[in-house]
Amino acid sequence: MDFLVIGLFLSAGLFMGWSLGANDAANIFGTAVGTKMVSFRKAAIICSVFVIIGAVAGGSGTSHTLGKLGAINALAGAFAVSASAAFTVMMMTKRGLPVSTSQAIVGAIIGWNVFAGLQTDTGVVIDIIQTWVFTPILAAIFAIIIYWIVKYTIEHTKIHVVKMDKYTRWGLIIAGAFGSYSLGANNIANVMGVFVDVSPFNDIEIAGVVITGVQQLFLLGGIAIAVGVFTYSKKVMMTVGKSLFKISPINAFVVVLATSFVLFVFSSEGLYNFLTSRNLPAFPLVPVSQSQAVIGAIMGIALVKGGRNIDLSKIGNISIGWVLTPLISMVISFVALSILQNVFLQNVVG
Amino acid sequence: MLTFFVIIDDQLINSRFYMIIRYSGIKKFFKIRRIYMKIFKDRNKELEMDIDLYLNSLQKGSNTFLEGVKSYLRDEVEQFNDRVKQITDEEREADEHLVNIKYVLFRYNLIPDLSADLLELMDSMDDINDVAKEVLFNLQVIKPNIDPSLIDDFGHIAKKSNKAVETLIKGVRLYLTEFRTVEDYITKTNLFESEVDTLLHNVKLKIFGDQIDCSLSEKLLLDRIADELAELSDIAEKVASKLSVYRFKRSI
Repeated sequence: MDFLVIGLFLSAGLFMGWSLGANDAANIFGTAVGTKMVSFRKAAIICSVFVIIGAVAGGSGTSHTLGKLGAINALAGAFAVSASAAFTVMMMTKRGLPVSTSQAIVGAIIGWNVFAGLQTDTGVVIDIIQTWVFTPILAAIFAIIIYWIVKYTIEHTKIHVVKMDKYTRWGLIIAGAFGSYSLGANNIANVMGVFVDVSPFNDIEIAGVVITGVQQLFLLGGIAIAVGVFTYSKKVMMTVGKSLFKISPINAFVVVLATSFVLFVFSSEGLYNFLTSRNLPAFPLVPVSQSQAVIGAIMGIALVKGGRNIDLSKIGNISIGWVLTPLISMVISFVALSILQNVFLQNVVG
Repeated sequence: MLTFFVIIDDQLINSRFYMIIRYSGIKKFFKIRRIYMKIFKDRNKELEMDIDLYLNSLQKGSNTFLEGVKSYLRDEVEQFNDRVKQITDEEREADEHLVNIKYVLFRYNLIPDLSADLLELMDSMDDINDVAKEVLFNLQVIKPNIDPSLIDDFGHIAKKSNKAVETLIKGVRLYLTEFRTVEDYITKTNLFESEVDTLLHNVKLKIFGDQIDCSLSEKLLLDRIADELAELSDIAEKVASKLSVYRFKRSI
């Protein structure tokens, strides 16, 4: 296939990647950069490197689940699905509605299934929805546990305020690196997951190491996220750090770590295999909303502090997003596929 | 980590390798070393040390104030003049540490989350040595004639004021490390301040009562000196109330 056409079809995924980098990096490094604990340059470099590592090394699990939901078998179809999800996210964000790329992409894939006349696996859908509901709850639980540990450590050790600042910076950097890795591993499925079955790349071997077509695809997605981080996230980070969620750097460390753990457990194949091999209930490998995990973690902390500042409308907004985002995305995807097939005469179903 | 680099650095300086590269004209080495020193110098440690030395200077200043007042009340002129010199040095020393603290905090962007609180705290504590110096200077210049019946009262006010400052400094040190127990020291500081207020009130009653036989202008001067002696405890109380707020801000 022509290089330009491939580029054009992948552009929707790359845009999703750029948008993810621009917005979600702020959830990881927002407070650290906003409060000047970590410089933007340092944060952007760490975030980019670890997002790419996470995407390439750990992104296959969640992409596999999306593949089970709907194995899109035509590049033009994958483009329509990805573009629809991106458009949904853009449109809903503009209107101030709660939105998540994970939910948008799932809706768009179901839209493709409907268009192709294929049955959607309800078991997978239930698994995915359960995960969405469980994400903020799990983030809150993790945040409460980490908060207690951090609070106990701070209150029961005689760490000088200056040293504490040093440790907090390191903590934010380490948690940020982990968060970036988890974001790459979990959310690369939103960026490139729909292109996995129609990857235009062949396996290549560099110094005896085989890099599969899917890994190249994820690398490209990871780079798109990194570009998003470098080009646009500073603005978002400053907003997050100074206005929206004005939390202290130590609480930010708790939030980032809790969120990262949530994204990690929903994307780690190693953990999944470890638990299933011991006949233990495992976390399904599903792309989840990082922003909703962040809200869950912040609410967890608020709950520990006495629950005075909990904004219950946020919980309502999240639940609306669970229903509204996939529905809108599904409809847009269906319409986009029809246009692409009937107006542009593209083969959207293989 | 820092210790490791310091050891490596010391070994490097003393090694033959270092001598060879030094005399082989590799000037770049020095440049690299300068950069390395710049990067790995632990500014956090420097700041920690400066804060500690600053608090020591304040503590010394408050003690000198007490000793100076005692010397004046006992009419020990030579010792009193020594104390005046001493407090001048201590005030300068404290100012130097405060400048360093501000410089390190701003230049290296340390503790951005708490730097405003810390600076405000340190800045407001600077008044301790300023006031202590001012009181001793005023005693040296004005040389008020203190009635023998008031000597003990003046001494007590100075002692309690010193106690208030001492307790406050202990509280500030705890705020920097074990902030949970700061509240005890804040309460104690306030207690000493209210004791000083009581003593001040009583001494004023004495000054303006019939027991002291002197002119109104002399009485007013004594009243002013008593107020100045008590001012240290007022500063301690003000800083303590700020500390109380900062303590809450430190808890996560």
